[in-house]
Amino acid sequence: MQWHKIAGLALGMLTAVGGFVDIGGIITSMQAGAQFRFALLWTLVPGIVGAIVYTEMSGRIALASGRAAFDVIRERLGYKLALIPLVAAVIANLLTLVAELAGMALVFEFASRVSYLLWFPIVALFLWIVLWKASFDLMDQGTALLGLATFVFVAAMVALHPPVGEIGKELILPQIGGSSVAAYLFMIVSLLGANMTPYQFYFYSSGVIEERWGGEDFTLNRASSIIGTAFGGIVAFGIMVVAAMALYPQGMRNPDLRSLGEAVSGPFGVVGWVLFLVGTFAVSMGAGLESALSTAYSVAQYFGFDWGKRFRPKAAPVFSLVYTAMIPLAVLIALTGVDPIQLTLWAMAIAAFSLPFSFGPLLIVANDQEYMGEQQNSRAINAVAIFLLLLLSIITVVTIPLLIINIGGG
Amino acid sequence: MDLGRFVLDKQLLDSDKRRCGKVDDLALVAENDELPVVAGILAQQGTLARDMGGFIFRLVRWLYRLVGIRHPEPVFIAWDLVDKIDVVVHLCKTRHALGLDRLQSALGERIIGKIPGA
Repeated sequence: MQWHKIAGLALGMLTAVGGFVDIGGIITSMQAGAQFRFALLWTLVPGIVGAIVYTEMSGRIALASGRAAFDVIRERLGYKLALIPLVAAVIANLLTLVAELAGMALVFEFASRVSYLLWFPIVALFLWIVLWKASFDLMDQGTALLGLATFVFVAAMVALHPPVGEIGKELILPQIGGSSVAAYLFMIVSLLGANMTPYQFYFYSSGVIEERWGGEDFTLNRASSIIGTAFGGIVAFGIMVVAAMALYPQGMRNPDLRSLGEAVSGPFGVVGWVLFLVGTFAVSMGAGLESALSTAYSVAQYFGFDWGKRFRPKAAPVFSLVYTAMIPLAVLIALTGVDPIQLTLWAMAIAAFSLPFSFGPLLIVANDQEYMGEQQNSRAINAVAIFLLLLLSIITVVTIPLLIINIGGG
Repeated sequence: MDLGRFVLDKQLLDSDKRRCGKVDDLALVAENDELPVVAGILAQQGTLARDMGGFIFRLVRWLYRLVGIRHPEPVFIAWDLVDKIDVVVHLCKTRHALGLDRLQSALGERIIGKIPGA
């Protein structure tokens, strides 16, 4: 029973890793700190709250109905309306996968001085082998354990002696100084998209079914959502503060990932550098696995075919084909030479754009008594969830012009 | 029974509890002036694509041909083969017996099965 609980917490950790501390989360948090110092820390509050609320909701849907959230969404909305979250998730997940594989490849570039583009196909093949051969438990617990190395960002933050009073003031009244308002708004969009990616909620819900959680696991679901998300949020906070303290004063407004690693290794030397590499690789791999699996879950559940890692690949061919096909597609996109940092920021903005199409259906199903029985959303949860949905809908509307302005502004 | 709410779009499970698609459509028959009754379920092999028509329908047919299913037609499951309906629709035969495993078998044999370790 104890191991079941520990494994359950690992699922929440992995999901949060995929949200807050994947390469998208690392890069956007780094950019936010380097460009705007402490002025974007406040975005972690709605990010953490939103991730907890919707992660717990997607897990509760699976526990109450015995079926994964997207599976129920497909049934509840019908095949035409359910196409919208499906297509939105597939596009966002594919771009996210490219970004995560780039994160894995960049780690090898830092360690070897060989271009990440040469490492990309190798790490892509490695990720596919893990998807193909590893059990769900091994993927889940292995990456969650390795992802603990990202706590080095929190340790580096403490070692840099951040100005607590100033941070507290900026959390309430952020100061953007002379920076571009459009750039500030774009970073808000990218951060919220980075911290609440669509795949993490469908992945978590399917993971609850994969790990065979039972009707007594509602408390475990809440704990997993809160603890996992809190960990991810704290690490993201640490990254933003480290970038604000170490990169902003140097005038680095568009730092690369190596600069962040050097900022972390400053207080801790080689140990810090190694932990940075291990942690970045682990969370990028974890998020890569999540985005590929989440897409495969969603497609198989949309059409009603077998899905899940408990089947051998040939026994769940639609599921296996989807995540297999995503790998070469991701390699092709990367080999166009697109800048991985820029791609990550765009992927996170597109993820933000697609969030209302994921959150809206989750909210509908979580309030449907036919599926949820006594486990329907409470009024408090609905209030928070609806507020976040409205906030994200506004962000969706402003995302497109911001993307255009940001791309046009280079 | 509200067919749209309680039958349409539901998951199909065969007698081995394996997933075999969704209730994509219902076949109704009406004799003389009587109210129509459900004759059966239509599932898979382009049932939804037919409804969407146009480019989607042609694309789906092409994809089926790519895996060796030359003439994809919606699979008809007679209503008396439905065992029970709760959160899913339970069928009283295997998906192989009902012809609901053609796509998965084709994908398994022609593509996935050729990759080592499948």
